[in-house]
Amino acid sequence: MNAIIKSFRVFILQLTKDGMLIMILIAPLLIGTIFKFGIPFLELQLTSYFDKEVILKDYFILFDLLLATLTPYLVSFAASMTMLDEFDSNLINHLCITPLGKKGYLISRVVLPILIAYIISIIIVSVFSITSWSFIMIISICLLTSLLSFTSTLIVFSFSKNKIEGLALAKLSGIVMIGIVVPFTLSSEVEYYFSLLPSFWIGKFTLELSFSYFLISFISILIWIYVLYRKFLLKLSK
Amino acid sequence: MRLLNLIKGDIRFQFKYGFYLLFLIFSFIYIVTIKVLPISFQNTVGAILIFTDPTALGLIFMGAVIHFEISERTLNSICISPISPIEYLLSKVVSIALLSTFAGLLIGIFTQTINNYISFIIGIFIGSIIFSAIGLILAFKTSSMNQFILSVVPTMIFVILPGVAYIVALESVWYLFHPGIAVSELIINGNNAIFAVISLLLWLCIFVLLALRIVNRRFKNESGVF
Repeated sequence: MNAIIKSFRVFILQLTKDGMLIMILIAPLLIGTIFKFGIPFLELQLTSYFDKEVILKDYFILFDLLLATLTPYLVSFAASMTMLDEFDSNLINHLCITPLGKKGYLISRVVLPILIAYIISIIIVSVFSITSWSFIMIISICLLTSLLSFTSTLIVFSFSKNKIEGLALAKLSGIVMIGIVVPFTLSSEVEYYFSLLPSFWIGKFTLELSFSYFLISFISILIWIYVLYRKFLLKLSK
Repeated sequence: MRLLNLIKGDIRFQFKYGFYLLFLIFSFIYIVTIKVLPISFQNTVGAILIFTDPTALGLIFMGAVIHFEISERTLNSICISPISPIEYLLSKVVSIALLSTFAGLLIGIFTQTINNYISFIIGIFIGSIIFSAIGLILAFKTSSMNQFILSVVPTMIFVILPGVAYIVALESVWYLFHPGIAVSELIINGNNAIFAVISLLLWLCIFVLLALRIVNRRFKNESGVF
């Protein structure tokens, strides 16, 4: 446990030195403020200009969902980049034979940071939400988006041989997140093509508020994490 | 001849690390996205996607390429070889510019959003070299990927964002002094393409010379020759 805390502290110090920590803390506040005040203002302007009752209001939930995704995703991206740097410089192999181990390394670089991102995300969404989500709903959504970000880091790290492939995969892993907007934008006949993506079920859960969709999202993310974790261990064993 | 071989080597390297596959996938996604949009939006969205992704791909990917070469000590080997800094720089930016042009053309042809092939190709090619040169400068100035990603943000705000705004709403010949806007003008084939080319060539010289200075200094440091 001590080794994990020490390794986590090094990670946070590294993020502070790079300036990434400030970015991770400021960006959600900035975007939250824009969403909180800018989107309702824009809706007001658009509805009066086009003389309609509602234009953006149906998508307010989507803005909240994006806000819930932002902090964990930024943290997972920063973790992925750090891990790629450490893998290329062979630091990971050295760390994994210390008392930290492979599991400890993953906990200190991804699990703990995402856990903190989960808490920050709950606070951010509670403060800047533009819909009337209950606290239970906020906790559930943030849990799912945090776990989803975890899968994103595992994809980037486990399937890449170096930071070049890692960056290419980071770009590609954006597709994994795209399922979030599918239920809001595509018709019901087409949307189920995206049902293999856990993010799709998160979108469905947010839109229809059904517990069964929460369960499907949760289980599908856990399956993804299990498969990706095996791949992660395999990469570190090479 | 040596430059040609270097470019070939870099293209092979990019192919091996999945750049071409990645941009095939993304080009396909962009083509589908543009096709499902109403016809009145297709040209604008097409130009924005081509400008922000294939054209600016060097800005992000150059960081990974340079940092990888530093960590693998490839740069040390290159420094003591007969390869000159200008050849190294040109090979990097031209190979990425070829990929940018290929991906841009693929999206443009399949979505029928190209108004003038000559200005389109010139815009993407020179624009990509400028973005790659900026990426290369930032990559050599930073020591970690997170630092590099953060250093790219101002370029995105001050170069890419005005270019997007120009495609959507703006229209004035004076804006063409801005490199991002000049690239946008050539991609959409606006009324002032000649002026945009002149402006871009100026920016190209500035950024390539700046990048060359950085590469020169790095070569001297790595090879131990002062």
